[in-house]
Amino acid sequence: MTDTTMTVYSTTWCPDCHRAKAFLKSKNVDFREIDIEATPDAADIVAQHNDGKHIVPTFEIDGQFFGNPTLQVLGKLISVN
Amino acid sequence: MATPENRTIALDPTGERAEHRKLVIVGSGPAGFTAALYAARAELDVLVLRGPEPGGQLTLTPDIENYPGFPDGLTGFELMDKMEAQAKRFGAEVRYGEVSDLDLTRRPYRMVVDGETEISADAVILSTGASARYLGLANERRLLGKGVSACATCDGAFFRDVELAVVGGGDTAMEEALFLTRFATKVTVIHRRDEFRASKILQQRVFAHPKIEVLWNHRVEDILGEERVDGLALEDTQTGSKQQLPVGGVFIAIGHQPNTNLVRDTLALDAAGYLLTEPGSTRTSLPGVFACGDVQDSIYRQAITAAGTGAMAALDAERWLAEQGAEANQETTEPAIGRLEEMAVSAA
Repeated sequence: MTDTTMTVYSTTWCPDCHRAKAFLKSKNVDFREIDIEATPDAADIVAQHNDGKHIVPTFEIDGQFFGNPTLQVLGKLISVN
Repeated sequence: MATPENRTIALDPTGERAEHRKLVIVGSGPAGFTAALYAARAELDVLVLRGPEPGGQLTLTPDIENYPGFPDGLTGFELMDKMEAQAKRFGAEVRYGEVSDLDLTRRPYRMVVDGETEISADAVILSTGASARYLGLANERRLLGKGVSACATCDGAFFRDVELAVVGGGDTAMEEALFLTRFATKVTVIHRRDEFRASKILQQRVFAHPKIEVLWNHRVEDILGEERVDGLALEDTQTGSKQQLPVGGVFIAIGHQPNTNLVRDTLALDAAGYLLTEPGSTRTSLPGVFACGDVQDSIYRQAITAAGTGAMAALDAERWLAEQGAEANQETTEPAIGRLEEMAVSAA
């Protein structure tokens, strides 16, 4: 999991973001975090990949986007990558 | 959450492959982590499975003001992180994973985690909590995530500068309405009765808030909108008159239902569908299976009461495991049965 770039689009207050970040840290996965409320255009990127919905957390892993997967699915995504 | 349809993994009939633990705690809210803390301090070999929503419902609460010991309040996450750290400090193992099947038909009890790992346990504490209840309207399901939500802290900020509605009259409804005022231009609280059951302090804040309006004696007949919610169809429960309320989103806060899917067929439930426990204890209808927190509490449903029953469950489990050990050594069941009868008599 060293070569993969992961970006987490999140907000400061979202429970699922907090959970997902804690999960990634427990698995020693590095990620870049973008606060969609504080970063221009970030909310648009999230909406663009989620049928117009501002889903957080949204994960970008090697160019692919995943809107708020369960931790089980997220675990599979990081083990594959 | 397991349903009969997705129980595709057959449990290993021999049980030989399973990892074995003395005590497994299913769920990681205040009940689960308090049980873990007490069990770990009793030096039981304890494993906590976090479940699908680590930290539980409390993590959805932005400001906790009524958990004793924290006079300045704190967020649900902060409190749950502290509880987890405290349980771990005494040796509890905490693992990510969701129990997808639980076999309570024979001992040791066995469970499948994430559909792939099997674990057996001498005793099980169920602290699976509760989930938001919905109105049950077809359009509510269709528009879920498109303006219908049961979690203001999850979705609230996506509704900036629009009018919103909250349905319900309990603490959760008040908290959701107050939280949503950060983003919405106006929040209408819709309640089917003429008074709230929420705590007085929250009611006062709602009544005093300039952005919140209360619509008493109304029920939601339908949720309107094609691609997104654009309004509600309401009925006055007194006069029967109907009206439409244009809103950009609706938050459902009409209560919770206990997460009993795993054990619905194997453990006794009460009339409201919550796990039934012996009065004054956390014992369920099966020996060595204990329940704590919101999955067995249809009345109080507070972080502090969940934590309290978590402590009870660990103490009950510890005593039960000790009795099992004593039985194995002495090859007699008399002491355990005697104590059970005593408890039943004193509880009656």
